[in-house]
Amino acid sequence: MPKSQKDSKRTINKKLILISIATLVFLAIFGFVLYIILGGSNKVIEVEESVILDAEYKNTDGKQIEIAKEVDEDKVVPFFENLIAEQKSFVLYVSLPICNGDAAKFKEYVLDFQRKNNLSFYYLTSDYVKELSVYKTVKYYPSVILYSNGKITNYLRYDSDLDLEYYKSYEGFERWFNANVEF
Amino acid sequence: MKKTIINAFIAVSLGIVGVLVLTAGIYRILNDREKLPEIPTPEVSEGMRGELGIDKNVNESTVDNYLGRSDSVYRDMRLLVDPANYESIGGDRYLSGIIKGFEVVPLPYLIEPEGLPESVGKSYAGKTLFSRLANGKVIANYDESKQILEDLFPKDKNIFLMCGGGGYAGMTKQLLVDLGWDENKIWNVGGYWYYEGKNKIVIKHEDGTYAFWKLNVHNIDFDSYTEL
Repeated sequence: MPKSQKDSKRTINKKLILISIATLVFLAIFGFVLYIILGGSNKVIEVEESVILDAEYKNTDGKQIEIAKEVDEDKVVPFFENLIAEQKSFVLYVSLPICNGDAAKFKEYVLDFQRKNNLSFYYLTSDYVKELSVYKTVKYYPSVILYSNGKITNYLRYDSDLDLEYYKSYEGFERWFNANVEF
Repeated sequence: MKKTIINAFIAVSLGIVGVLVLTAGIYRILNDREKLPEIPTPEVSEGMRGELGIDKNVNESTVDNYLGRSDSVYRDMRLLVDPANYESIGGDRYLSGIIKGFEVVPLPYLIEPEGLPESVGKSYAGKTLFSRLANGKVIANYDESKQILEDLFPKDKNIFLMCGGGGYAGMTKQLLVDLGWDENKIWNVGGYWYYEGKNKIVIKHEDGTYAFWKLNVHNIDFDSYTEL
């Protein structure tokens, strides 16, 4: 084989080796990126602690316990904070004067759910909530807030797309509640 | 001759100084004009707040930064006392407070509010400037309807809307946009309940009475208009 042909073949081989190495490096990087992306999306969604409701709120007539009607106006705040001090596990609904739409219908879904499942929830209007500890955690209402042993474990976020479906239908609220509360 | 030159020199110098002073004055006047911060383009919030059309950037938390502007109007869309039973959903039918600078133009006088839950019942069911047909189209009920709306919500101004929770404000924006207003000049600031800024005017007293005289309310005198 003439020398020039040999040189040409060597050059082609070198090129093939370089292309192969580049391809391998590219595949390795691509695989790594893919691993990171898929690894991220396959992460287990953090499930917040399930609430086991106290017995006094189960097997009831589905009562809407309006704290402001249960006690005198000046005792609403102490009454509520006492529930926390006693480390009760309960559900709190806080309303807001919403003018229209699905947000206003939401209370009806919650009430229906209570009646069907014989559960009692506490109810508070927005008049009181700014004086309560719950306001430090939950800023936007209406919301349903879950307490386990006196601590908030989860609540519906009025300002989050993630919770939108739970506000918009009875079935949505039922799904959220069942996933978060044992009763 | 020498004196004439000196005089001419002084005159020219004074002239130059005069022009400079005048220029500086004009420059100062132009720069002393109201310097208004830019308002972010309307963008709806996430979640249910977004469903009502409440703005992500210009809302109860930030509205104080945009109050008192000469290029803007501020409207609260609530009735002083709403016939709808908002107490049934834990609300308040009374206008219990307002943000300084906002003027009351009740939405139910403009168009019938939609989407109220059954338990709330009907809001004001009297005359309205506009009606929405089944196909969604908005029609005027009076000859003067459009003019009144243009006077209350000038198209050349930024329009800041709010109410108790953000719903009436959202419906007002929708009405205006449907009638040709620029949606990028209208902000649904949200609900008074969430407002914790420095410009709160309390209307509801602790004894349960209401200081409605503190409000600037736009009256709509339907009887004096020409019904279509």
